[in-house]
Amino acid sequence: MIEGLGFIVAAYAITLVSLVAYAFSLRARARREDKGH
Amino acid sequence: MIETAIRPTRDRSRALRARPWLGAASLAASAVALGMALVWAPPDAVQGDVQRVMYVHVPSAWLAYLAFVVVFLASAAWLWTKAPWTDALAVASAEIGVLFTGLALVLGSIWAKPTWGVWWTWEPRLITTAAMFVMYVGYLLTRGLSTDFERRATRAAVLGIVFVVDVPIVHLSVLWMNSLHQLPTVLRAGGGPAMDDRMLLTLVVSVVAGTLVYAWLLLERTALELARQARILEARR
Repeated sequence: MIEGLGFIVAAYAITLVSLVAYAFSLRARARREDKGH
Repeated sequence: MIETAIRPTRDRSRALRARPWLGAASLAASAVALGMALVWAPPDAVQGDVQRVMYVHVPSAWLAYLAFVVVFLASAAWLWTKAPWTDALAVASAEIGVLFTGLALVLGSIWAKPTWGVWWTWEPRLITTAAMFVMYVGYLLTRGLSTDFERRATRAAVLGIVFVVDVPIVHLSVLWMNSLHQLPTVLRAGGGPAMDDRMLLTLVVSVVAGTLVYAWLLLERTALELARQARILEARR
């Protein structure tokens, strides 16, 4: 068992989810902009 | 003048056309960095495996610094040239910088709990980083105070130039004041990196991957801002 596994998983999951969510938000905003909103 | 300067929109600019390639490169580099950080790098002799959090915490902090230095440069360029793309670049970098500062704080907190025994403590590096986060959130909010394009960009540029002062303060706070936070390990005055070679290489690859992700997001966000500027100016005619 890896010591502190929960902390490691939490750190990498938060990083990944934040960056992916931001990238998708940019895409959604760009789409809205293309529609002229 | 603004209308002509704005004309090279996201579809025309050569730099912005590199976005798909940069996106692919940043994803590939991130996958390599992830493998090295979680599998290849050895655990720390004292901290054990929890030290692996450093491979996302340190790049986040570095990218926050980089993002706010880019805000400073773009802000100075706006005041100098009044070219709208410089304002688009500044707001794009500020937004991404806030994201990475927030990440650095949260990831540092996750590392601090098993290492220091607390999620948060009022020590210089943490306080100055939290102040940096609040300052740039304020920078983004200030942009909403005026609908006049030039006035908004000029006010934001002044803040972008003033706020960058906090970047060296954050970095050097561990040397200037009594600090619980770890001293610089890689960029040390009077010595090389105080790290195992595999750990150092993993950290370098993580920083490179993070920088590619930053560059990709920066181009995407700048393209969005340019499209927004073009729409606003179109509506004015």
